[in-house]
Amino acid sequence: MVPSVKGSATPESQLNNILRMVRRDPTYVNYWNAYKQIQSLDLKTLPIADEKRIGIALLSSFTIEPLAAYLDIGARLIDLSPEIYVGPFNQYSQEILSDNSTLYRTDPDMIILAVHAESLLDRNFLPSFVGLSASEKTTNQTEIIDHFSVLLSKLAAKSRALILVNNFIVPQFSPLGILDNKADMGLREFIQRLNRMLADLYRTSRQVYVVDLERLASGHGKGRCLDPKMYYRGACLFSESFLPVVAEEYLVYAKALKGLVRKCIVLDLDNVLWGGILGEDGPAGIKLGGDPTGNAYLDFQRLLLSYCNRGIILAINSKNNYDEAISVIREHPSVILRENHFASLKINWEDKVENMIAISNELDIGLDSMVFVDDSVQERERVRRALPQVLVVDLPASPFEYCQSLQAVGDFNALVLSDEDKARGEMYYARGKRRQLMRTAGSLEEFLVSLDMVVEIKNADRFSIPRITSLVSRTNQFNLTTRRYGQSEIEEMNNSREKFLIYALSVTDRFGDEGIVGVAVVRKEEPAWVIDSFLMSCRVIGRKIETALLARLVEDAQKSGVSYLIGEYIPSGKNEPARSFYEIHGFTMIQEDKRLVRWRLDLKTSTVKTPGWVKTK
Amino acid sequence: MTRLADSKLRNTLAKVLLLDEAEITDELARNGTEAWDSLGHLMLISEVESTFQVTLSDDDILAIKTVGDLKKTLRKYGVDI
Repeated sequence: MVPSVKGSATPESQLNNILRMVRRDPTYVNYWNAYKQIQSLDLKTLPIADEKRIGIALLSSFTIEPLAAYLDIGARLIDLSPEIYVGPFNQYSQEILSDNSTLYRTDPDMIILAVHAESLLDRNFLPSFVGLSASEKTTNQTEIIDHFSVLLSKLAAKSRALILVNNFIVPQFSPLGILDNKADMGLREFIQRLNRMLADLYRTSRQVYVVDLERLASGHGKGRCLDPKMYYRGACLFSESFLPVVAEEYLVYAKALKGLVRKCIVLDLDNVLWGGILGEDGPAGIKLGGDPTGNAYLDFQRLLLSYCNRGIILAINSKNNYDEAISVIREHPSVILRENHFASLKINWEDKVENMIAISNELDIGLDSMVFVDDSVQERERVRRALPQVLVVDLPASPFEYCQSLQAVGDFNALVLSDEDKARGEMYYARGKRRQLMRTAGSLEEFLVSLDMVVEIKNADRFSIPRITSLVSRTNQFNLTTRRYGQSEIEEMNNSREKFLIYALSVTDRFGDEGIVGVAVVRKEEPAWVIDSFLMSCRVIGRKIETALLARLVEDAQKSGVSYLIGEYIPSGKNEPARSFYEIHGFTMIQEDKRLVRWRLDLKTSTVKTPGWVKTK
Repeated sequence: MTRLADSKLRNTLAKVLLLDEAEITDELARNGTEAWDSLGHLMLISEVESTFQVTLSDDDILAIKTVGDLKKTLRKYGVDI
């Protein structure tokens, strides 16, 4: 029936052919064609992992199918498996307010509310604007914000989804012309204030996020965002060129929601952190500050430091003599990024692919969490081919454009940013120091004792919940079940203590405070407690403090008279390090298949003790 | 020129209407072609307009019921097809 997939046997190969077509030629008509074709494929039989699935509902005041096409295909191109529900045209209020609407029946993971300001304002708003009094304008604003807040409260109460709401594009035109900002609230300020009110309303919400459409429109060029012809003909608001920009922004949230986040930037040195070749130009000859090119490198280092300060880990992968390079990093007067900003320094003459793998192992960070920045096209191609999971930045040839190129990478975004996230860069450095100690200490046990670890285990509260959510959404390796919960779900569980208990473990040692690094979620199913989730940050794997957390669960279960503790292990392809956790701690296997292994500990006859090298607070 | 224009139109029609290029005939009608719904029609007109650098009138857009109609309309706007 369809040209590009004719003769293909399976729905899977048809899907791949369609996506290949869009990748090759990403035009509007191809996105539309791909979206429509995929809708007619029978994909129900395809095995899709839960972590790849995402249900997205689009509610809007205008025709939003073209955006749905970009969103659907865009998600598939990053290997997600979206299911998109498009609400009926301009009936978003009814959909949200009626309890049994299709919206709620589809139970989406993400709901997008896209409403344009004109649809909320009286038809005569613009012609009469100049004559409106300040209080009439304020009344208008209050009505709009109230309308939104009613809808969004209802959405938040009825749905577990992440809710995205667009703000409004500040118009270029005002009937007041150059006097717009002389008036008591001109048209532009009217919209700016609306945006401010919307942002303030949801500043602390962990479920509702305001998408800064105004920022996207400015970046794209206001004159190019809307398509009047398509608007009058079919109520399609966004122009062909703006659609992918908006879809891309929604996908940033989707990636954050699905834990597809990059945590680590791996950097080359020569012509990346400074200009020139250290081995040829010498420490005094490299460009870092001082002239236009040198200043561009300095600003690139500042940008990287800003990432480091919000929790992105930095590492070096460079072909250089270690001693020469490290003395520049330590002693060059202009250097911004010093040794303590890097979690790992692979400065050697090894293959860069091998170095990437070594960094991944050393930091216990998956290759799929890493970004590679190198000025050499050959090195980039080599890493891209050998390690397709790594995101390779196509660094432009000119250092003047380095900052813009890295800023365009939207994969560092998380939905919550905790204090621990902000301090993470430094924590990895402390970890490097711990490893040095480990090499000098004799046995592992001696090393663990010498760390002077103090563990504190508390039930979740409003202070710890952002960090807990962040761990639950992105921990891969030591994660027994990899169940992803959003902040609102965690809050809900934590509020039903008769059914759930959520534990957070934090640890300090002689090198510093790691903050919260372990989480357990217990489901009470008397006479047993089921460990629904159990995970430790990769930062602390190998320090055996998971035993302390398990010991606490055992202790609490025994105190409340429960007979069994049930542990579950769900293989995810990434959590191999956690496979034998329950076995090591004396649990008996009671069920095993490919997707789930269940373990049981009889609390009358067995227990788990906190290891000797861990003190509990 | 005619052949190039024809092949461009054929390609656009196939893409928007989810058909094989061989299935595109002058007789192919909105009525009976599933993907040729109102949004599909809008998409088609918009693509054709930007391909051939023309802007069709509202009445002309409404009057197009078949591929033949579309070609006839484009000729009216000076497209050699």
